[in-house]
Amino acid sequence: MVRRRAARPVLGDWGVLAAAALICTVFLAGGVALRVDAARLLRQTLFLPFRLVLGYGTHPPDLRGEAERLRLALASRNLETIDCEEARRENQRLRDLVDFAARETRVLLPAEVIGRAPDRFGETLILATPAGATVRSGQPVLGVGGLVGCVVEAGAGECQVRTLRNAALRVSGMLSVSRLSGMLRWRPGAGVLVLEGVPLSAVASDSEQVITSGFGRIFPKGIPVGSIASARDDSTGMAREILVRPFVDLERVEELYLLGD
Amino acid sequence: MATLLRVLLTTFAVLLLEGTVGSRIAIAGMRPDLSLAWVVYAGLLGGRRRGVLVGLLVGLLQGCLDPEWLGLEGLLLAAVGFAAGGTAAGVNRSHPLVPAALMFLLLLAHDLVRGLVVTGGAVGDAFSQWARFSLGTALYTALLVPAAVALLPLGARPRGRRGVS
Repeated sequence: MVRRRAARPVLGDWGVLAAAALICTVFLAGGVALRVDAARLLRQTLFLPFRLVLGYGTHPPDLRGEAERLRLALASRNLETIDCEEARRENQRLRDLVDFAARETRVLLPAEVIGRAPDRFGETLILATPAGATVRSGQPVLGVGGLVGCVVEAGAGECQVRTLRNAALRVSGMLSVSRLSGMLRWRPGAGVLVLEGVPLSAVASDSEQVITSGFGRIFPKGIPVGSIASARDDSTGMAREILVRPFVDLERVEELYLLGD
Repeated sequence: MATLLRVLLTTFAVLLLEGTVGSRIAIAGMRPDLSLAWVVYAGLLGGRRRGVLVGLLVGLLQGCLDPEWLGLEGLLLAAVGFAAGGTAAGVNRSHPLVPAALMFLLLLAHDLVRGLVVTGGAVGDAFSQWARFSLGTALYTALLVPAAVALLPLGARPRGRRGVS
């Protein structure tokens, strides 16, 4: 019986060491650019299976990018908060100087929509109010995006709210940038709010929002109401009317807030 | 083929372990050098050739993450594997003190040469760094790794070539 001899390797132990040394020397002598390129190539080839298995090739870069964007946004918001805080203090100082009445601080009372009563004049919501909460007629009701309406009737544990979609509700509004004011009401045919009686100089721009003006003392000043859809002269030609889309989707509201005293 | 696959998988596992667990088991900033320990085992149990190849592979993989010195670690670890493989014939490899002693000595030698190269031949700096970090690391590695290997199930321990170990 002939025993097959094991094939001798091409390189002996010293030859393997010399080959390894040669490879490493090429890298070391090749300059930093070569080493960086070679390292990138090795990473992309040797680590590829692990990156694929672990999902490292796709998700973490996105996550890192998203985290970076979020950190940037957070830093930006923090700066804005600091500016706002500074402006609030400055505002308070100025109000003190001119002896204005102190601005009221209000609380929000959560309330759940438990009924919806549309009638030919518009829409009324029924809200369940928190136990022990004092609810009064005329109390403003807010959604997450802005104004929803006001309480028209308050009972034990519940109240009725006239929403912005009710033509009987009038809200004194103003443009947030140009500060021109008018009266807001629902126009059922158009399906939007209309800010009426605005001076002819009013221009509809994307930067403008419609907010409550605080006139009439029913709604506090500055509550966001909606964005501007379009603007045109009214039928008399003496004023502008501005069509406004409410920020709050009034057909889908479920949780609202009563603006407490 | 099976041996090659096992060596590759072990190499990646060691690097993964070093990258994840290494910092958690550091003592006074000194982490066990698991990759050098693996090269020593590869050389000791597989001979010079395997020691060199595993050292080269581990060194190049480590160099991928530190491209400035890509090649240096491969060269040094290949030399470590060669040295470990060279001692294999004359010692009782199954004795736990053998890999421990080899790890201790070869890690010190590796760190000293590396320090000299990286510092551009500044002997004082190289020795200072070596004395501060390498002695402790070498001792830690030499104590930890053979003990951990001894605790592994028999099938999972590093094995030499069939009929040699």
